[in-house]
Amino acid sequence: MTQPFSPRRQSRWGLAVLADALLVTVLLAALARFCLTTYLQPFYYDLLAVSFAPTGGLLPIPPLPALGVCVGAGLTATAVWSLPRFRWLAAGVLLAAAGGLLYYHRLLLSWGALALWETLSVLFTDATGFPGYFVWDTLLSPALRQLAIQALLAAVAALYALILGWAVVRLRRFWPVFALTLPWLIPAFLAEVELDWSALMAVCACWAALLLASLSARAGRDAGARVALLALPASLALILGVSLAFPRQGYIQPAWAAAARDELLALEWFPSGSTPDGGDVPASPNGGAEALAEPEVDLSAAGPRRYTGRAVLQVEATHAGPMYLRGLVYSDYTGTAWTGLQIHTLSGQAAQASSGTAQGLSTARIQSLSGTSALAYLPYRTVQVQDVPTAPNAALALPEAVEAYSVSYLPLEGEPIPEEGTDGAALEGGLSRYLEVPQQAAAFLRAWYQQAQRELEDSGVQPAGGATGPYARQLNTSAQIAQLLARNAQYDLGAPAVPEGEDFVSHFLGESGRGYCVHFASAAALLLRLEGIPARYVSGYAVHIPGSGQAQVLDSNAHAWVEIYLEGYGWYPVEATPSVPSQEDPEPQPSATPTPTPAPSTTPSRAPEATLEPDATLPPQQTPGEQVETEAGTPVWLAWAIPLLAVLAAPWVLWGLRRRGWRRLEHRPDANAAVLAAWGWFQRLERWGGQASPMARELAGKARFSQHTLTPEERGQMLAELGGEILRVRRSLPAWKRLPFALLFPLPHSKAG
Amino acid sequence: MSAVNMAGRRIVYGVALLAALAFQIFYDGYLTQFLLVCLLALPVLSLLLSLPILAGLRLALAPSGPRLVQGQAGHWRLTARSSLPLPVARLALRLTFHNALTGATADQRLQLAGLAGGQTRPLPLEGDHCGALTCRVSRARALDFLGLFSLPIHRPDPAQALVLPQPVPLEELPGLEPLLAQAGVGAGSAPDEEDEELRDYRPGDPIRAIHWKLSSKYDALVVRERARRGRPRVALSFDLFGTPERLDRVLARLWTASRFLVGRGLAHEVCWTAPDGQSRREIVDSQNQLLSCMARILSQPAPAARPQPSAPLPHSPGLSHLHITAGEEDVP
Repeated sequence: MTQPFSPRRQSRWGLAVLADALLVTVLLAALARFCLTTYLQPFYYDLLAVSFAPTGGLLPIPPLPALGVCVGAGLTATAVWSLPRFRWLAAGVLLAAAGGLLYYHRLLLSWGALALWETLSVLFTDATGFPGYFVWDTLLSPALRQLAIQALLAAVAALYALILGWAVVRLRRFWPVFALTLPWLIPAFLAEVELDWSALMAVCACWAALLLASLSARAGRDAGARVALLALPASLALILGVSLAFPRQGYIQPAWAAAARDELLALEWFPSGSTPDGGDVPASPNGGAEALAEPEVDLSAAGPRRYTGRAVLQVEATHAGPMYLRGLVYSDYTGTAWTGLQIHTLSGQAAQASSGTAQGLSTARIQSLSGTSALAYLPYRTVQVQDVPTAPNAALALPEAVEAYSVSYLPLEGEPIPEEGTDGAALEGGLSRYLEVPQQAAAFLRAWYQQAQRELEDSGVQPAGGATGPYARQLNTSAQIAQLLARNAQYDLGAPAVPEGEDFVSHFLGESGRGYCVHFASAAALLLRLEGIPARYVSGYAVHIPGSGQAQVLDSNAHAWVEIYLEGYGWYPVEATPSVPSQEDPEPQPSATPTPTPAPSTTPSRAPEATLEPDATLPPQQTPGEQVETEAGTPVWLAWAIPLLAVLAAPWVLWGLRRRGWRRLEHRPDANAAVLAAWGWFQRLERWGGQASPMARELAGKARFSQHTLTPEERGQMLAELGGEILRVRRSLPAWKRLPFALLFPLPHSKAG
Repeated sequence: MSAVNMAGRRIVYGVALLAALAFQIFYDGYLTQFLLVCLLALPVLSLLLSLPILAGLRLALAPSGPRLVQGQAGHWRLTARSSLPLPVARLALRLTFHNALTGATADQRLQLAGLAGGQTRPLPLEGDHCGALTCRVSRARALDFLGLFSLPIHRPDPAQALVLPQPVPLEELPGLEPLLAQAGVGAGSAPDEEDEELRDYRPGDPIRAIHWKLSSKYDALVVRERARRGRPRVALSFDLFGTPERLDRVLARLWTASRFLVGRGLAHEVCWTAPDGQSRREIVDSQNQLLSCMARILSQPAPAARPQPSAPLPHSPGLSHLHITAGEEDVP
């Protein structure tokens, strides 16, 4: 059993309070920063502006008062829970005062709650689909809304600080503090939003310091405080070292982890919602087009993209260079999705093997690394699959799911040349479906295209496109459209999802201006259709085959591009994304059951036709105008006053507590405990140059180790020795040291020199 | 630490590590790697912080007093000395307490938390029976800050304390007065002859001890020192065997008798048969010599039963003799 004995009855109060205050304040400030930067959408933290700069026209949250509130609340909570006695009474008084303040400003705080919930609902709904956007229909100005949010956050921080301070100061255990702090971080993990790493690292450092100090803290506050003061900077250094040694930029999940996941999933211990290549391949070995569901590309789910670095395919080809592997093809654009999947099943007899090489064909062997698959990813221009002659104009499904298949193809080189036997009318549904543009988007796209062309002309930049062959118009138009898109939109993997109800391409070109291959390919397809060029959307992989002929296709190689129909040639791929095909350009796999992707940083439309109902109403006896006048100044003043008052009051509080401690020495019923407490004062005096007399030492030893109960005379003798030594030390100190010494070692007036 | 506590902490750490590993496998974000690496590095950090403290920690054992009277409250003091002002997270000691006289040995496991340099922890001292007590730390280990690793630390030297017998009232020793009479010692008898020794002056010698006559003669200060050389006229003997209670009674009576004789200025012999069968004789004519004699007695292991055959009285011939027993005297 561990002895609960504390070696000194008097702990080093100052050191313990310092350590506790540091932990509480750092934790509180880090959590506040994390929540403000992660959850308060549409706020974002602008390092250059050194403030929380919002989008959408709201005012910034000044960081210094926020920090001031955290520091003040942390110090106050630490002071309350560090009181030797009546700490619960002090906490109760503080809560009662806070309650009164909250009640007085209840209207402002209720506005803050509504405004905050409106902001948070954006984040959570975009990320999880729950609980739905909340729109607060109010006449409050943005400034007042901001003020209300600040007041609410300050109140929450102050109350939370009291609870956190209790856990850190009184419980001195890691697990209660962990349980109190983790819930603030979990929603960010679940929503898969960008985390504030500096704040997160600070929180982790505090956790580590608490863990390291927890064993020592059981012996007493002093022991725990010393270790905490050592462990906190050490933990911070460790975490910084980890972040430097394992940088966040360019992180890819290690291959061993991806392989382990595949192995574990293959054991069928866990339910799998989709197969590794996106859910369009059935688990059964049956192949064919009928085995594939009718998937679509859900454009409304196209939010920020992340990739695992997991290898999907293994390609061995005889021709080096960029390779586009066509997967699925879609013809119909609905505004929120690409539908009209076109897929055929491979059929026919196997041809002679020598025919491929005799015509200068290249061959490739494509192996699926995630099990069997019925969908064939084919390079341009495939002429043979599994020795079966074929010229697929759409996606190709194999008769049965296989792990690998061989392909013969003619690599694309130079401009396309018309070939006999290619008839556009024979295409499924004819060419007209590849020229359709939804009416709601057509007008906007036309206007955008014309405007973009005018700007290009005015800029003096030479339009792209240098084709001169029979398909020069189509190719040059494609190149110009790609050029216009590159000039007017930004490639961004973190592009948020399109708000519900809006046209995907119109939002991309008209509002966000950010997107990746899905956005560029969709926009290019529609623009090409407007120019009378049949176009369709294609998804697959883009990879660069090195000289060795072997390449692994990662999930990050998934790509979307456009195919245009060239009369007399067939479908020809056109790159619309402003990056080379072989670079990582992720694109969500088309799946039968598309899964929502996280989509932070989007603002719901505040238009009246929003389906959400406004929830907040002003009390009938109050008007916004009146409330503005009475509520405008108080929270900001409060945010500055609290920390200032805390700093000014700290010395007074300290002196009062020490005076109280001295009086306890004189009047404490247990004389032995009082003498031992006085001995503790002697120990602290040593740091100021004091020294315990032999008499004091003997009395302390007697109080501690003998069974004798000290008499009042002996207690008085000990206190006299202590008082005399305090006076002597005070007189020996320089003037500038006397004030802090007097705060720490106050004497009753009868003894003061 | 309990071994259970440390095992529990290791289990918790193992579970946390497994959870982080699963997190890394099933989730592709950077956070997974960050958490896993931090979790792996945390024990290393704990060791790095703990090792300097443990390496510089020195424990010292000392009794509250070198001599105690039987039944008097006392304790062992375990003091920690460290060059660093940081505590040890947890210390586990196995202490062995041994009474040389009675042969009693006890082991105690002790766990201390937060012991820092300069701090002292009292440990109970069992002074119920006479004897030379030894407290020894047979095993000393310390935990790192996380409580995952148990590391050996420097063991302190054993500490020793003497538990002297509790004096008994003189009325319980009615044989003392007849013994004195037999030895020819009465009230007002002159003290024994004292020899004087001459030596050179040493700083601190009292001035009145200076032999001025000789000093002037030798032109150097000479000090006259009295050497008390009383011839023992009385012998006290006892049997060193029995239960701890019997030994306490015998030694208490011996102690009382011997102190009485020393107080009367009577040099006397203390005789007993050692466990190896050899007789022991100690001449006692001062308090210091009595303490030394008692220390030697208390440091000898006493057999539980009377040795067979009983040895003859080992005292010098011609001395008045008193044999101390547990409850009656053998009048010579």
